[in-house]
Amino acid sequence: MDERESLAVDVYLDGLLARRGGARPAVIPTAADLPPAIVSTAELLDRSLQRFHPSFLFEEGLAQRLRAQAEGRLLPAPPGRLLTFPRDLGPDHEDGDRRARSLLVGGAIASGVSLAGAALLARRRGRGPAVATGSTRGAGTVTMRRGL
Amino acid sequence: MEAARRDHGAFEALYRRYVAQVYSFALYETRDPHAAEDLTEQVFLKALQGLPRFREQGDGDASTFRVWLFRIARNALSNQRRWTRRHPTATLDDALAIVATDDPEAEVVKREVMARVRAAIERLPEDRRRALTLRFVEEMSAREVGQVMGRSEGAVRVLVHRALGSVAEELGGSRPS
Repeated sequence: MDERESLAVDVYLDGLLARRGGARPAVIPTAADLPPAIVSTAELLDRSLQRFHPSFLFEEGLAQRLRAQAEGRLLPAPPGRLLTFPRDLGPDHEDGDRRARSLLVGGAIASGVSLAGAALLARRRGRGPAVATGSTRGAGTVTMRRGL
Repeated sequence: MEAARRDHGAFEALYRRYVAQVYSFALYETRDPHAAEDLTEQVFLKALQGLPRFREQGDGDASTFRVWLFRIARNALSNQRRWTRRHPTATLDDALAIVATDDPEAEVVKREVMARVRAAIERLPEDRRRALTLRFVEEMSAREVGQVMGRSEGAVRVLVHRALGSVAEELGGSRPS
């Protein structure tokens, strides 16, 4: 088993594998000079060793995880960008701006809810149950508490 | 490749192109579909993280990205083996058992042949088995296999040649001189 024969086997394998896709190799190597056992084994492996594909669910799930990871890495939300709100974002704004805006909107909503909650608590302590709607009650209470 | 660095859509195209190759390599190496999925995920996550450090040195079919990807796979496989050395694993037969067919009789014969082939391959030393898998399943050239395995092209040719001889002997053929 010398290097020359290994080279001949390698050339033969190149031709064998090139036929898989239906393509005809430019030079079809001859197997005549190779040991028949090697040739028959190579042809058997060519038929037997197939490529497997992962399940659709796995492939799509990993694609999603890669996408999420890439977005987290490639599209960070710079802290300074939060100050740009409520600037009107044009059609060609960057994703970073969109992310910053949604973060700030979320923060504003959270702050509003907190304020309304604090106001409701203060009103209940001071006056008992109220009959106003949530929004008007919260706003009125804030005004009242500020006036105090 | 430069596009993949900047744009995830481009990386996803690379992922779609190579996911089955990496998965197949992992499946042949681990013989366990679940371990193969874990390894495939590790490889692509590491590739995504390491992409800024990767430098393309080829073009088209000569792209070195695939070699780089399989080097990551080889390293991930070594790490995984260190972890799972003491745990039993399912065989590749489990993965093949779910393949449906319209011709059960032919499928039985085919599976018997494949089982013998796989058994012969599994008995090979690791370097010969890996060289054979990369050459036949991944359709890599001897040069590419060498780049993945850290061997010279000539050494890979000899590895593949010897692996074929060993499998031939296992399957009842005569070992070539």
